Amino acid sequence: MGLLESLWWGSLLLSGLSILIAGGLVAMRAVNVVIEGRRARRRDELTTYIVVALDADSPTPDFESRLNGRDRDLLAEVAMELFEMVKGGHLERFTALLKRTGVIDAARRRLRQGKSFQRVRAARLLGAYGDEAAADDLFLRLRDRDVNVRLAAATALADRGEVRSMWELVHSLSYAAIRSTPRLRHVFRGFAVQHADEIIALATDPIGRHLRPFLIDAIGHSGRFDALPFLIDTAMSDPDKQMRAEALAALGRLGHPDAVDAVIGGLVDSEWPVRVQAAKCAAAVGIGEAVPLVERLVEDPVWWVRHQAAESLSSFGEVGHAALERLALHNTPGALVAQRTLFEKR
Amino acid sequence: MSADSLLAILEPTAQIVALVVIVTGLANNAVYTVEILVAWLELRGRPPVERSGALWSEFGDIAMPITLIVPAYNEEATIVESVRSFLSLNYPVFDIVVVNDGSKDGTLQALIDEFLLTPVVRDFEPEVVHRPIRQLLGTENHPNLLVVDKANGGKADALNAGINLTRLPLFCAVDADSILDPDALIRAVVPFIEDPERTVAVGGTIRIANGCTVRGGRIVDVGLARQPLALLQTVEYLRAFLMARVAQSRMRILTLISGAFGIFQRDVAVAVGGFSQNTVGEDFEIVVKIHRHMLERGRPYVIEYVPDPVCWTEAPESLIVLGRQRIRWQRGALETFAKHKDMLFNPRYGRVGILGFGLILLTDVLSPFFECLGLLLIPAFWAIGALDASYALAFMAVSFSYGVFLSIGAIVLEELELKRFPKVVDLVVLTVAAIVENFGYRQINNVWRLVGCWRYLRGAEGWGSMPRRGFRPSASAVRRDP
Repeated sequence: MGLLESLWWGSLLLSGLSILIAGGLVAMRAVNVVIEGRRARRRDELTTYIVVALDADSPTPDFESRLNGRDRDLLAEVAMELFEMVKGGHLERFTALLKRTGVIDAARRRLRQGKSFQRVRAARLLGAYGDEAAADDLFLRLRDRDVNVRLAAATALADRGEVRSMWELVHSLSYAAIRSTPRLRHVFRGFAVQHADEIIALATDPIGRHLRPFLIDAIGHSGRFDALPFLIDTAMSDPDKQMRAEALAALGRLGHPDAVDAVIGGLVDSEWPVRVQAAKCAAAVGIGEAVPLVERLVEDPVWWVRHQAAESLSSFGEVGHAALERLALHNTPGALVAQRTLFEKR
Repeated sequence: MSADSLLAILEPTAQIVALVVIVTGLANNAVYTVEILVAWLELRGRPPVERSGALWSEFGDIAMPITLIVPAYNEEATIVESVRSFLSLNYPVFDIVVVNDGSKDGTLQALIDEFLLTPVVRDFEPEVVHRPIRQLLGTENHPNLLVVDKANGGKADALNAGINLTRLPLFCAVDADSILDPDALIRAVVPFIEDPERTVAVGGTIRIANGCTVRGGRIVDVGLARQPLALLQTVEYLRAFLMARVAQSRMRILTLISGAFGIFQRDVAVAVGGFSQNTVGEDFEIVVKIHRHMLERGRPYVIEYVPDPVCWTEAPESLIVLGRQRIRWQRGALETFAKHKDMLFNPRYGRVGILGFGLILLTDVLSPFFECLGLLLIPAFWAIGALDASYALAFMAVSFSYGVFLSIGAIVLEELELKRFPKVVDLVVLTVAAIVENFGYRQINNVWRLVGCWRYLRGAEGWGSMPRRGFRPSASAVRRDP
């Protein structure tokens, strides 16, 4: 076959293939429409059953015994969507329903054997509705080969607020090549109250060094004043500016007046992110001694520091307002910030 | 000179021209083949698209705050509905900065009347350059809405004003005449959540709203455009987004995030000087600038395209308006290419310089020229007997059938990934459009691109007017329920 003939045959082949693919696509869609329609109807039936079952005195064993694997998948899907809405006694009944109908067991199997995205979804479901056994499964998934599953398992455990060992969790996340995503902040905040002691210990331990910003942040959410010395020390002497800033943010959240020295030190720090957090912390804790230094920061070379300092001053009531009015009279970049802040707060 | 001797000269010339046209076409097709394969691999490896509720419970607590920057110039017809639509987006924390870029119509007044805006003061630092701001307006009814009224300076200028006014870490540039899916932001922000330090920009999918039903500023019923030109653009957009962008994103050579919908890290946008004002392709240019900035500093970064977040836009339904748009796009592409030509095949810029810019050279610079040359000269050479028509016709047949194959491929990707067209008949219509677009539409597009090249060489300026019907009850292009 010559080139010319090959070209014509090639062209014909491509055209035929295109039409065949398009035809197959249309046929596939036609079948899918029927399947999806059935699925949507079944989903509605299951949702209705759930809504009725949550208020009913006793379950309907007949209905539940007829559920198959696809139904359990649909129930899991509905369960995740309803999670934010189901509270208190309803949540307990819903959890019991999911357990009775085998949804929890199916999720546990998926968590072990499913594809990566299925393991992630199973982890989410078990975080929301799982029991003790599910918590153990989630804990084991902290060593999953897929980093997304590890993170999903950690998030699920954080949603439950409990984990068998914070050390194991930190170890798994530290070596999972997880980047510093906001999820990690969420994870450690989830454990902040119930695992405060371990978090404080981990923040000073070499094992937690990769996750220190998140551990320090979690301490701020723990409400534990016994962590103040550690936070103050970190804010005042840690060589890493990010740690100093995190410690000041945590001190601001704890709101204890003992933070005064750390705040004063932070307001004159050479790094602007630390100065910003110090100004915010001064306002959050209400440290009156810091006002003159915050006032000085309204003339900082960095606009964001100027802006945050002016914002902080506006939180100090009359003293801060007076400081802003004084600044507004000058002919400096800080004066413009002060003027605008005064206008904004009006 | 006799006719025979003239023919003797023309014959080899004709063969060279035909060869160059064919080689360029083959190179183009090779690129598209790679793109469709890579896109297929990428989409096949992605987990199924999450439902909105699941997204919210997964990311609701940790999604970063975003500012929507909406530049508006003479958008009186659509602005109120657009802003209403933006205000009702499902996203935890977001601000909207509408920048009235010195509109000559009633854009500003429409906003003032609808949202009861009054002058406000906002502290900001002029980090990127733009024309003077006349006033800032806000409302107690929507504390997250700020309207900036400024002197006319063009879209890039308006975006820059918006960048200065935002205090949040991310901003989303979105066209005033577009409609975002309610969960478009939360879908698009996922790469920033997963990899906040490296992700610097994310683009979403742009789709044609013509034929869809809009209610309360939302697309409630997806339909195909009835108007042929808009329908052909639907196929074209599917190919551009689900094939080219997915593949380029996967290969880390994405050089374009559509100006209609893209999220950027504010710090990085400021570091590159914001949007450039001396080009009509500011969306293309800022992405290239970001690549250059990050590569020159050796900073690891990611610019990503995410297919599921969708922004709906109204496609031009007249040849004149569409032509203007395409000519402008071509000019923008050439302006960016010329401005950053030192990146082309420069190893310093890695795969972006070699592959990314190589692609731009092939598809935006060489292709339109050679395709038009082929369209004009090959029939002419054949007419005077300087070229054997059988080969030319055979190559054209391959080219056409391959074009159809690629467009069908894009429809397959759409069906596998998004399934946004609800009716079976839509797929049939799209298939027909995928065939028809190769006979006339593709060629006229090349002519517009050639005109764009010409205008670029002549140093033309300005955008040209882009009249819109708007998402109004009276509009036939986009149906809106009462």
